[in-house]
Amino acid sequence: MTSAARITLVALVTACVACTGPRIKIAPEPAGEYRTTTTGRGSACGFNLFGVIPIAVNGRAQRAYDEALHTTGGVGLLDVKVTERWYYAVVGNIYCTDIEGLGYTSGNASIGRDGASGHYPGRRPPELASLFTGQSSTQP
Amino acid sequence: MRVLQRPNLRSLAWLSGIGFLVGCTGQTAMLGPRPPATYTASRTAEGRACTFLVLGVIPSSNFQRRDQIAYERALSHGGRALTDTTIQYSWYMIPYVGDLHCTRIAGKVIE
Repeated sequence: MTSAARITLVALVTACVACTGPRIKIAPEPAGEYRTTTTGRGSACGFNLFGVIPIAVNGRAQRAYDEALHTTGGVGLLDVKVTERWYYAVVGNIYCTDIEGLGYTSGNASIGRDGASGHYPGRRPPELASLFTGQSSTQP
Repeated sequence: MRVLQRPNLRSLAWLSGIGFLVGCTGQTAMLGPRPPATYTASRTAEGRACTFLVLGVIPSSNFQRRDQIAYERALSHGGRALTDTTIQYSWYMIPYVGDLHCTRIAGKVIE
């Protein structure tokens, strides 16, 4: 094999061993009025075997976001914080992504862009609404 | 044969255990702050940051701040924060050298 062929081969191998994950929307723009739920946290990891073979590496951000969103019960997250972790595991590396955020639901706003302070001017907080309607919030 | 295999397995187990100790947690980056009460978000911006993991073990400087740097670069042309933020990870393996890890962050700029 000539040196030119070797260089070409190395360049090809280098160029081929790469991966780009999908674009993940981690902080969608909330609608004009929204109601916050709870803070949620999601975590997902992937393994890069021998530094070349990705196993669940590229979709970890989406899985972490989905888990955080599921925890909040909202339709999107606000105040999103992302933390990256990695570990060396001899035969490859483990990469993890943690996503934390405050969930929100759209419609029937208690908090919105015009009242983003977290107060409920002129309205009852949703968690207190049952007290005024006489409904019990105790789960059976 | 069994006498020879036992130490090898034990060594592998130790190596794996030590290997898991080598790891790092990056800085937490606020990538999607709550939008203010009133704002305009008429333009989009994008920032990218790449850092190197030498031989797959030794992190280069700023490896733990990659997400934060990409976010700051997205706002380098002005703006207070991003909303509708997207994140994209990519990596490149360079034989005998290490891995290059990149983060791309894009979103609408809150002016």
